[in-house]
Amino acid sequence: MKHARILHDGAVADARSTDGENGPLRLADGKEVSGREATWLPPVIPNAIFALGLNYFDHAKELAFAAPATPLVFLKGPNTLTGHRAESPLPADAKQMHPECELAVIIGARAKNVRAEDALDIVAGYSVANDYAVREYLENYYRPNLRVKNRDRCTPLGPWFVPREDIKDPMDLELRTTINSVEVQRGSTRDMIFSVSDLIAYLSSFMTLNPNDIILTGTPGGVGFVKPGDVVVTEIAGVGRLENTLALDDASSSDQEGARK
Amino acid sequence: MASLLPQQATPGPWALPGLSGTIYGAALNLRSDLELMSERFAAPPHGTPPKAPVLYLKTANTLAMDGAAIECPANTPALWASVHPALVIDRRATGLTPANALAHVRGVGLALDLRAPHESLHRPAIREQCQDGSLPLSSELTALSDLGDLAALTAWVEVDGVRGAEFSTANYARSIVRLLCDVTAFMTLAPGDILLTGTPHRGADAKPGARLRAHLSGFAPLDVCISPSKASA
Repeated sequence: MKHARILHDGAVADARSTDGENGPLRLADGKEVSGREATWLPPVIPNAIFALGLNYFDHAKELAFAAPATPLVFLKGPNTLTGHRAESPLPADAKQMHPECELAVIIGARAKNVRAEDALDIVAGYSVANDYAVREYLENYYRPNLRVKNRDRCTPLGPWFVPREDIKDPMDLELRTTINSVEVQRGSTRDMIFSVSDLIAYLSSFMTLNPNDIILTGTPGGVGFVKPGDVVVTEIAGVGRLENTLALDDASSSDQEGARK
Repeated sequence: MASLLPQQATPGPWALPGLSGTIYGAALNLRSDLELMSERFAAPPHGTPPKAPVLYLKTANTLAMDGAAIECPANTPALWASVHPALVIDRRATGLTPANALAHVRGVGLALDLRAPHESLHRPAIREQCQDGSLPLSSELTALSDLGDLAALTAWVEVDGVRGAEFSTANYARSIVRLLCDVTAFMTLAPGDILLTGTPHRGADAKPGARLRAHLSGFAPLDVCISPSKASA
């Protein structure tokens, strides 16, 4: 049974489905809403949001970085999340904004010092994320820096929260990204450098993980740059098909973004 | 000195998972640090000095209260400890201007930022910065109007009664107002979010057993101690 959060009658509603994202969504009061008509929100209200850079063998090669010895982890704020079928702002001067399809792991328990062999026990479920990056804003300080990876509404998440028991093996899932139906990324979670279990063990070795912590587990190779109006779909087999459209944000530009001294 | 109580639904540290705001910190915001490191910044992996504000996050598990004992992580001889003024955001803040920036701030807290020493600024230092309890926060806020000149706040940490190096917000590369503008130029700060405005890169050394007293102009001091690591060596 998949879970979603939508806006209904002006309020946030929890919905459940055994169908696709255009099918019926059943609300708590038994009412049904069409997924096609719904306004989708991120399916989880996050606590901490962790993200991985360079966690797929082919993507590391593509960026000409050696595979890291320890996970390359960065953090994101909740301002960056947006739901299925939302619009993400594309800065007016950005020519190198690109989508990144990622398996999102949602933590279900408060835990520390979790062993890798027990790690999936603390997973509540999974979702699909699109960890957009604006490459030209990259700087070599705490990289990837927040101006690249913490932009408002630039990390779609959804459509679903899929409970852990509905995914047989998170390490055997196909990922795919298309821009206007043209494929730009294809991969499998088999190719992760650090597995979901490795990441949970690593993070919990030095800090307490909490329910609704989310780990965005990295993206495979394939870099496709987007233009305003482009429709991007990031999908993971069994977890969901997450759609997003780019809208020109002419309010932003390098000049205005503190990039001057 | 007036104080503003933060709004919270349940007792305990001000911000709880699910209810909390997000904690952002400004790194490399002291001119003295930038000058000291200028040669390093010209070399790989940096190449050029930073342009946009250099920011990090402290996750919610880092919150701790005045009087807490904070466990030193295993295999870490000492933590670095230094103070930030902590702005608490009151209203949704996007694209702030110098004229309106401070109107979005509910008040200021005293934050003691504990982290494992890390020299490299190339990659995010999550492991070093996000240990449980590594951001003790004062339990009361001070109103901006009670702080006087925001560019004349001084801060220091006493370790076992010995006063460490002091810094002043006069030394900020980006003033508090400028920082608010430059951060909100590309990301929105929400009510309850916290922005740590800048502290020396290298803090005072705090070993297991150390008693720390953190000072910031306009605030009662904040006291914590560092306890030994529970993990076996």
